[in-house]
Amino acid sequence: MNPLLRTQATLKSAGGRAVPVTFGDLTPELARDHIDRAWWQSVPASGTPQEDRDWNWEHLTREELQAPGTFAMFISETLPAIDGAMLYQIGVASILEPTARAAYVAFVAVAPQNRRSLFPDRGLRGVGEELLAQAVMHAYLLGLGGRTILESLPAAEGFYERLGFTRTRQVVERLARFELRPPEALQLLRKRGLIP
Amino acid sequence: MKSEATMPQPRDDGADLPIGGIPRSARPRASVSLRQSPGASALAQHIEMLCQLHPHVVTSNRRQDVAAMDEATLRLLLEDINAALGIRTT
Repeated sequence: MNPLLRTQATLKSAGGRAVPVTFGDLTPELARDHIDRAWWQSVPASGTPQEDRDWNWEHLTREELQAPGTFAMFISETLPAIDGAMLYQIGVASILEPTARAAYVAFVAVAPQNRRSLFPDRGLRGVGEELLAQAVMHAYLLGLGGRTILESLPAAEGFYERLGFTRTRQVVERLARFELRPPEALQLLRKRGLIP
Repeated sequence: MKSEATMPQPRDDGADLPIGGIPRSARPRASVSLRQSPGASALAQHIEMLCQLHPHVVTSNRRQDVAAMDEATLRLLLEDINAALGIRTT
């Protein structure tokens, strides 16, 4: 993991309790053992459809890490259990400012037990947002102004807009592509106390 | 094309929803191929990436082999680069 990124944070549980969490490097082996073999074991497939239920994180992590400038990160309340994971790439072309570069968030998922839609009364809250903030911070630390690009599911668009993301004109696989510009990125990082 | 975003959306803060599954060919293009020195420290690799992303930034030491620098020199170089790029941390 980048040595300048924080390795710890505090989230809240569904009941409002403060919960310390740790960030670390996601390897294909960790993904296999603590995501692919763990996340969906006790979640019936008949419930609310989950877009990522069939993702193979071991394969994804192995494949993505072959691309230069790609990073894989997990967040965990109690190691080695994994509460969320993210794969992102540094150095893609910005959409809103074509001469600039950005981070691109290729994959993020929150462990099923932390999804409000599945378990409204338990689990951690804010796991996905915490991971995204790490990608934004990495883009900031590498002089990219925190520019960050991602595609959003329709139901999450309002969430990204509230975080400060701007909808671009690009639609990929029926998903709108969003970009966080430097002013909003700095605002997000300041709000979290990551930059002065 | 009518965006799905204009349709009424369920109240969901979106934080739980996954991101991903876009084929590599449809992703934003990589505008730089970042090389990383295997075996170099994490800090040296961070500085190498900064130098590749910002080739115009001139600081003392930057023409030297970053992977061979000691921790103290790396810290000084990073301070110089961060100052040149306006990167501030708490």
